[in-house]
Amino acid sequence: MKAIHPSRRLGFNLIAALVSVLGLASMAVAADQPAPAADSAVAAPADASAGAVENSVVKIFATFRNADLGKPWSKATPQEVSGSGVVIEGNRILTNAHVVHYASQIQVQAARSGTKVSAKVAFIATGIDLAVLTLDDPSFFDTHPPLPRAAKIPNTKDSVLVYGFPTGGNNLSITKGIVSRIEFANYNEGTGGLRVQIDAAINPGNSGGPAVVNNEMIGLAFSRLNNSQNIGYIIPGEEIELFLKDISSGHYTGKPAMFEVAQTFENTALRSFLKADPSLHGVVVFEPFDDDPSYPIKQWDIITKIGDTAVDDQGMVTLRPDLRVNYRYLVQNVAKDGKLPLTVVREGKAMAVSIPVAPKRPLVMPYLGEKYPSYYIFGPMCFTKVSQDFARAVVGSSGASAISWDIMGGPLVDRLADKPAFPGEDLVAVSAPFFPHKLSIGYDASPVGGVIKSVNGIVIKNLGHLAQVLNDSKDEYLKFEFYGHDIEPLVFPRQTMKDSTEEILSDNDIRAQGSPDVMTALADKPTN
Amino acid sequence: MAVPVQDGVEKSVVKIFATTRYPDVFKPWTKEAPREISGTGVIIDGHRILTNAHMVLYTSQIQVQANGSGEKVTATVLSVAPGIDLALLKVEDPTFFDGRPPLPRASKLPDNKDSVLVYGYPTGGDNLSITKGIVSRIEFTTYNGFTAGLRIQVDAPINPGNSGGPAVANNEMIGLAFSHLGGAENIGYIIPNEEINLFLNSIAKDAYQGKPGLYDDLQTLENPALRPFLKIDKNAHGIIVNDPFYKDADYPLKKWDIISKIGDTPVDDQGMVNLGNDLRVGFQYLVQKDVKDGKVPLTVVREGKPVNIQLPVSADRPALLAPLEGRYPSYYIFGPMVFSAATEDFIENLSGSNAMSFLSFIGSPLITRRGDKPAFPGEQLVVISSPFFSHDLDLGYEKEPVSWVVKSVNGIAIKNLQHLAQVLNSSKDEFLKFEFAGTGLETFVFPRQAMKDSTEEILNDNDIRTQGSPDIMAALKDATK
Repeated sequence: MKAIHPSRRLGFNLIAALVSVLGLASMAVAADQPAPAADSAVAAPADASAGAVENSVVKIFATFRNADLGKPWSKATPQEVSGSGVVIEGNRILTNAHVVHYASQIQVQAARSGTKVSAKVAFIATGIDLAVLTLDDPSFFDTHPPLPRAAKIPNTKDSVLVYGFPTGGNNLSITKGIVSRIEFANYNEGTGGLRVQIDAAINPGNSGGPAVVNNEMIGLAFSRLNNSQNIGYIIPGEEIELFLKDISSGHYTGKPAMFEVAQTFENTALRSFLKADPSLHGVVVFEPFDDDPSYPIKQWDIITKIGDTAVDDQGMVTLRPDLRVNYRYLVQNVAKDGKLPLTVVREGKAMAVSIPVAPKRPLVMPYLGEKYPSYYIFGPMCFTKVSQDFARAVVGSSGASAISWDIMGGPLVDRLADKPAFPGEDLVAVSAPFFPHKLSIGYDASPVGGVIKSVNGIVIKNLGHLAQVLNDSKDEYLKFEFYGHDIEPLVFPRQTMKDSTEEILSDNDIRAQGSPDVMTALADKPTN
Repeated sequence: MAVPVQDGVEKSVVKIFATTRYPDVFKPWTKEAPREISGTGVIIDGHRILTNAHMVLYTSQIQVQANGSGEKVTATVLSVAPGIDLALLKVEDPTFFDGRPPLPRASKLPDNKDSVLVYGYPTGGDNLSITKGIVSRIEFTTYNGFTAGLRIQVDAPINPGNSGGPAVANNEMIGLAFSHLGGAENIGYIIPNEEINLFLNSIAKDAYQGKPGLYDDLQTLENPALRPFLKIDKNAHGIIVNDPFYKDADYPLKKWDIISKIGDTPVDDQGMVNLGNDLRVGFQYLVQKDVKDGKVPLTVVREGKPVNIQLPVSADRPALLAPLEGRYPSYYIFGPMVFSAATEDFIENLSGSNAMSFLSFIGSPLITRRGDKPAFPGEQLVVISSPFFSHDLDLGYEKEPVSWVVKSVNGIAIKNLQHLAQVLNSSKDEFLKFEFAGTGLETFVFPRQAMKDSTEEILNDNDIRTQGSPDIMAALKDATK
């Protein structure tokens, strides 16, 4: 009997909080909350309706090839991963984005079956970690009905069963626990969302499997806290409904969010500085997302209400005795047509404002999401469009205690949270050490992470622009200058550099000189 | 609490204290330093205590203490099954069982999601501890060595010391806790009653025979190209025999046979059988159900046609490198060299990736023949288990030829450890020339008489009581008679 390959990759990528403005508030579970009937889910015999849950759970096998940030012309070695999924309406399977992220081959197997069926990703949301799959053979769904979803968020202490295919065996596994807490938390790529914490055991391979209360799904297991006991995380039904509604348009837009940076209103000096009396509660905006004079929010505005809900001095809103969450949670419930109504107190006066909310924070270094990095090779140099992933890898690899001078003060650090300064702005960096060639003799062999400022004095706007400049130049030399303190300029003979490209591609087994986006743009605008 | 706790369960649980001395495969003439361990057991019918084999293997002293009692009572091992990790103890004083009734065992497997209590004496305190969870999954899986069995996974916490304690549903025992998955949350493993009953039935008549098993190499029938190649259509299901365990003509399984049924139960393309109640397990599970007079009825598809066969199944899986399973390694010392019969335990202890890549590089039979049957009855691989003892004789030779497999002595191919000892003792040649299996290993040449004569001095110098293990010494003695 050949072993089915075990789950090798965890999705337990608890993203470090981006800019956690508000301190953690401890939250007491209200004493008047009625205790749920003990063991309700387990005392119920395994009747026909309970059996239906098993029928809707699938094991997912994926072969994925990660992006290789340093070698953007190739993908990382294929790896096998397994996880869980659940059948939902419309002949679809819901799972975590990280189970099928960068997957080139996906198969699903029902809990009681011996057949694997090929699947495709129909939609993926790497931020909130959800994905929807479709199957080549829809007759699969004749015998595997969708699992009903609970209409509301569970209460803390509700009994929960988690279904999935974790490590420790091959068959469907079921574990039991209760809802421990519910919070608004940071997911991936700066996306915030509601998150349910449970104490049922969650292990590698549980990712994407349903958490069930009274035979209804309350969410999808996606993560756990390492080095702790039984702190498992579930994406609740509300986030799933938002995602499904979003993709019903035919593509995924993302969750609306506000990007102001605010601070708690707890410090008494801050309160008297802003002339606030003790009855005033809210959070203080210290950095509006936009400093344009027409932008409705200003520095020192105190956000007191989102819609009709009061915000407290720690930036929390109380929705239920056991549900006190960050005010940013309300954006997804209150925003309408891209606008969010707020009440702010400015110079002592309350005023109603409406701010635009966007699904994605515009970033000059965007997240790769499900894409592979763009690149362009010219002579012995490989250039890449800088993503959040690339910048964080470069900054992270130098270590917090020893960030090198060339990165410090450079745009990879300075501009990590910035919007593009003009439409179409990219940062372009050297992604790999020089390919071995006599052209680079005498230069620092590995200017990796160096961000190109200009070529022959022409300021580089984005990767496509760089490729164009390199191909259009008629100068004898090409002079590359970099941002930051400590990166030497590089000068190459233009024609020799250009002519060496084919030989270098061949010598290094590289199939294409650039990623499809860059090559198409160049072909559209042939060099003259 | 959905399940009221009955006093009876606590009364049937005992704490087990044992002193163990594990083998030292690299110093086979001695044992590891004694260690104290503790675990759990449960009282069953016939004034017996059931626990895990790993609680009593290599133990020299066992004591049990009843729950609530302040007295440790000496116990002895009645029977042990290392493969399925079960053991039975008896207590000299039958009054021990007064007021301590056997715990009833449930007659059938629990269902997934059944509530379970695990009783035992895990780390974290001294008294009886009880944890609670549900049945997470049930599978047929490999236990120790080549033994396979049904296994229940629970999400009740199981910790070191829980081993051998009962898992209880509705005041009936459903199995015995024996393991948990390290580094994971609440993945605990239970030996179900079915395996316990097989063990108890087996020892009712005789010494423990082991579980019948199926040892052929198999391959799933999932890849679509396999179907036209094997000339079968979409409706045929089963698992492919990739390498029959026996190659003789009268062995009923052949390469490319598709096992489509075991008894009357169809086998699916991943080799699983669906037994209802969410029990989908490897078809090998049915061997223990369907075996009769040492044979299991199978339906195989051969060249497109179904054929019914009777497959002999046995508990004995002949292995060139058998696991020790409670024995101490055989050894023989001659001059400055220590020879030992290679075992699975020896290889596992070598483990480190350096040792493994060295053995692979030289093409050692420890690697190339690891899963093999003996090529002839009595075949063993004889290895050097320890570095040379300090002596002038080995001057200039590789100091630590540990894990080298002896190929021949003076050209005589070595069949097993006993054979080696005999060859060394009966040789009349002036020199002894040791050659080793694999490429690039030195050949050792020693003056025979001087080597033989140095043995006593070396044993004395290294505080070694006997030149060989009892089996080897007895065989040598018989041979000289």
